[in-house]
Amino acid sequence: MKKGLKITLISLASLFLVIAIAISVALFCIFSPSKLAKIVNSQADRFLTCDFSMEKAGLTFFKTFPKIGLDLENVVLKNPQKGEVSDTLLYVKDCVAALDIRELLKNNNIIIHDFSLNKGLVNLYIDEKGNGNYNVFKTNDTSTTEYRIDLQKIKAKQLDIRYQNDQAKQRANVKDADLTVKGTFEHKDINGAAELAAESFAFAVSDSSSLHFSGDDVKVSYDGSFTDFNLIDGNVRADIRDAVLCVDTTHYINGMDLSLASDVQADLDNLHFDLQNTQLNVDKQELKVNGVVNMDTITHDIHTDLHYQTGDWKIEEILPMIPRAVIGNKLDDMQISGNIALEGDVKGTYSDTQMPTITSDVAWHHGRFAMKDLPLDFEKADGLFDLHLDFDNQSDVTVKSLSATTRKRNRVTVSGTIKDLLGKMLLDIFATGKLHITDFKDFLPEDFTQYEGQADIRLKTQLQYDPDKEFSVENVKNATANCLFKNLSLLYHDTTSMASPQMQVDLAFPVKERPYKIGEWLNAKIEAGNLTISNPGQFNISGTDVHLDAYTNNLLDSTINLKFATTYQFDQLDAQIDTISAQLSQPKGVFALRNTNQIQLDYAGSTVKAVAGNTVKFLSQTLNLHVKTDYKEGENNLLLQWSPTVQLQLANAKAEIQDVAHAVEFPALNIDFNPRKAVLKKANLKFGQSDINLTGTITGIEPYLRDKGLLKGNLELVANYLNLNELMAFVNGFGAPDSLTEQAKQVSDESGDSPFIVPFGVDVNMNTTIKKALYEEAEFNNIAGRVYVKDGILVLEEMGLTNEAARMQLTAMYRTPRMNHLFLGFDFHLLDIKIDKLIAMIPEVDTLLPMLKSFSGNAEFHFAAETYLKSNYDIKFSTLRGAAAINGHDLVVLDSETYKNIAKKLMFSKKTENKIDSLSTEITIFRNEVDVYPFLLSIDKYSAIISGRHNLDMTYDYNISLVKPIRIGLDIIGTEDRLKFKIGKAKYATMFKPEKRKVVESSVLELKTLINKTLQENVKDDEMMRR
Amino acid sequence: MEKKIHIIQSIRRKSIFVLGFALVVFLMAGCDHFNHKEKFDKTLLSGYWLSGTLYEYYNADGTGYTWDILDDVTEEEAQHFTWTLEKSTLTQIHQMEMGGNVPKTYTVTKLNATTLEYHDNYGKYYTFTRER
Repeated sequence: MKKGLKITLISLASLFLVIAIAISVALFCIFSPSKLAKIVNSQADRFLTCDFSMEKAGLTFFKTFPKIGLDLENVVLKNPQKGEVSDTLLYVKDCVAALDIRELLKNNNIIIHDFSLNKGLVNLYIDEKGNGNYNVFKTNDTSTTEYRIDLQKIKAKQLDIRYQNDQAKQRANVKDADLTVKGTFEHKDINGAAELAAESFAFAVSDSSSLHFSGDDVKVSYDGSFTDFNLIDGNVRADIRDAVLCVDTTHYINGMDLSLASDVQADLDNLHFDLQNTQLNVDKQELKVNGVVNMDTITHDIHTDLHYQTGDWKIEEILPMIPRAVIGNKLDDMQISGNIALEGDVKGTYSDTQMPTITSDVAWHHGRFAMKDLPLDFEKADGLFDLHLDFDNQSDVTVKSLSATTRKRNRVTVSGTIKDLLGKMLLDIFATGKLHITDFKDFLPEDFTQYEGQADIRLKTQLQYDPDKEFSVENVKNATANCLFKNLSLLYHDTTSMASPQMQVDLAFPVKERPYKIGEWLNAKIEAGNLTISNPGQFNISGTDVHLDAYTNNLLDSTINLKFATTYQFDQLDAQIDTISAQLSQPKGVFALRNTNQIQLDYAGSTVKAVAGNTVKFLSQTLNLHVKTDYKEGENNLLLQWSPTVQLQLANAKAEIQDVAHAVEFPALNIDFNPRKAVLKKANLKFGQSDINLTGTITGIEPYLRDKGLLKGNLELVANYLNLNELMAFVNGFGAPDSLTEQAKQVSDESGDSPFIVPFGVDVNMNTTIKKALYEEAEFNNIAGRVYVKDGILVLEEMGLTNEAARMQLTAMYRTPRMNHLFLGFDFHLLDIKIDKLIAMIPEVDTLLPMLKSFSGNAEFHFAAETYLKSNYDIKFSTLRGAAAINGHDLVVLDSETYKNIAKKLMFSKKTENKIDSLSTEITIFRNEVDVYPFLLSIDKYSAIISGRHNLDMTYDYNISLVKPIRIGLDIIGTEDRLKFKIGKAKYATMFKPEKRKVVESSVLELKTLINKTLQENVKDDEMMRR
Repeated sequence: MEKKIHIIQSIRRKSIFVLGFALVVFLMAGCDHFNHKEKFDKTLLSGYWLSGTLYEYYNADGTGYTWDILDDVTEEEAQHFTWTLEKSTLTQIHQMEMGGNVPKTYTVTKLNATTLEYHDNYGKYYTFTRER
């Protein structure tokens, strides 16, 4: 540095220092502290109405350089008011103000260029009448001098500010505040900017409802106007740490960091706040608010009209902030998380009795939701909701869209509404889901041990949910579910499986229709292309094109029995149970379990095929069935247990039964059946060659099944053709006692015999009209009569029949008391029969009366016999009894070898004409003895009485008593091949001459009469025979 | 003349034959008048009688039943009849269930406490011993 310059700078500095010292000395001389204090006090009186004092006042140059400043110490403003705790309005320990002295002195304007406070206290008070202790500036200054305070720069440090408004019952306290203010203060108007930083602050309202708001580390700034000490119009920013907002006992904010920025217009007198561009941050959660808040100065109700918008809030952080007084315990059993963004309005009044209405559009993302009574947790939730919270009335939620994943891979979507969200929720929900059944084990009964498949579900439900009560299915007002199952496979008890490649199940709950009156509660419509239910080794049921429309009563009410009813329709239904299998084509109908003891089955279908092992095969082209059962406990018999009422119609049906030679065909069958009575309305059946139409009633079914009575039938049988051989084999042994059945088996095993066993336990009366019947080898025509079977006894009663040989009447009885002791009895009358035809038809006649084959012509034949048979139908001769009467007219004696021998022995003329006018004989059979009672035979001029015996071994002992023209006897003894003819005594020479008849002959005649009379007692008159 | 003698002899032979035949017939017929019928005590008939495998049971009231165990028939399955015993004529009328009667007439030749014997007109003889 050049020496000249250095000298110059040192010179200037010295000069500046001298001038400053000179000015200071001059100011101290002119404005000494005492003089200056007098000036300030005098000036304060001009502006202030309150007491003003200070300990010390001085001018400073250095503190306010380049302005000259006024330095005051221990400044005190006192403005005591009644009710005020302290009379001090303001206390400042140290105050420096740079005043524009010239402006002050010349124009009475206080222009404070620089103002600073260091440590002080501000104590603002408003009494109950609204008078504030801060109204210390004179407004009615007689000097008419207007004052204006222009605050260019005000700084305050370490100020404590207290505010008490007894009129509004408000209190505020700011501790250790640093304040920076820049602005103007003219009359009651303040314009400028202020920044306040305080260690803490608290604000409280203690009205009918209390409010407390406090915080630490408070930073508040305001830039705007404060007009007439009432109207605020400016921008406010505030940051508060550990803020607490409490209304009454409810903490709305508790220990959170708050950040607020807002353009505020406020009317403090009316407590009206208009907030614009307001942004509130509570901790990390952002809230933007615009609108108006107004507190009624009289009622202190808070009226709100706000619009708000949040940032993305984390629900798990937000929910704890919601006061319990607001939300109650609604969320106690709920877990909800995720990001949520809200935008909406808060409108209405907040008071002791009212809450404002809050509406909000809610967007929820990346959420998770779980609730105690909801057995499903949801994650990856995204949703849009409209929320309407009206705490005084009803709060609702509209779910615009909600999708979530439950149990890892099952996606569900939901939309709908929730009415009365905070009360008894009424949910109107539409939900869809793509579910894996495996994931929902807990929803299925434990009885299901395996389950696979997917389900596309569309659920629409309306239900009530009261958080204060346990949820039950009765809260579901209405629910419909459309479920499309794919590759469905269920296993029940590890044994019974159900499978369907695709099955549609539509559920409706509760149901309004009552088609079955079973307390319909749930409706399920099931459609499946293919459905299989099976239990390997037990049963297998499969259906195609399945349609079920099922109803149940309340499945969850354990106090009532299950009731179930469904219509069903299949294209094909195949069932196999044990050894029974059935194929049903296009079956449809109704199945109803009306109670545990009442079942109804209506069935209509086309082709039915059924097979029961190797026992029965059944085929029907048409089957209509209506069954109602009434199950009764304590019954042993299945039919009595179920007590069915059956209406059965078959058409073109056919049954093949094992060991039955012929199939039973039912061209038409119409039967009504119940345990009391079976009515055969129409039974057209074909069995082998037989073609039968059967009608009538069967009664006594119940006593029969209880072994207390016989099965009674009263039937009309009309047949074009009846093959008795086939039919008897068919009904052989029906209902026979076990002992007899065992005998039959034993006999069959030992000898191969299988005699016909008459059905037991039945009492069936059958009126028959049969055009043609076949028995053994003989055919009979126009058969009419009564057949009845009664408990092991078969009776043909007065059956009229004809054939080419004769008109006949047959009464027969067949009984099977035991296998080797079969009873056969008959009463047989043949009228107008040709003898040769008779022998051809009944060869046994030749055995009874061998001589008959020597005659030709017509005869009447009355024959009654009975015997017991062995199991092979061999006659037990010791039991054989019989009686016969033969009456012939206009007979011709055939020219046999025997006749020639007789004619020769009796010296018949060769010219003898072999015609017989009449023949009338009685025959008895006893054991193996056939006794021919004496009868008179007239041939040409000869009359002979023939009598004798032959044994069934065909040994003969006959006597011919020739009584005309001479009396002579001829004994014929021997076998048929070796007959001996011996002339002897005429044994009955006078039998037919009453006047000469002997006692023995009379006795014989009486016996003849007895035989004949008892034989012909049962013959109907000819007219009846013809019918 | 010889022819006339031959005719006379022929007529004589035939007359002798006829007379002889008539005498025989008369004698045979007349025998009935001399037939002697033994009278048996019908009370002895009551009870069980056995002939081989054939049983007969007579009630005092004129009913009875018979069965043959050879044919696998038991007493319970026996067939019933009514009977009369007039002098030596035993008449059994076997009644059939279907209607109709089968009369059988026998001549009793012996009836005592242990033995019953009878036969029919065709030479069939029965000998019973009392069973019980």
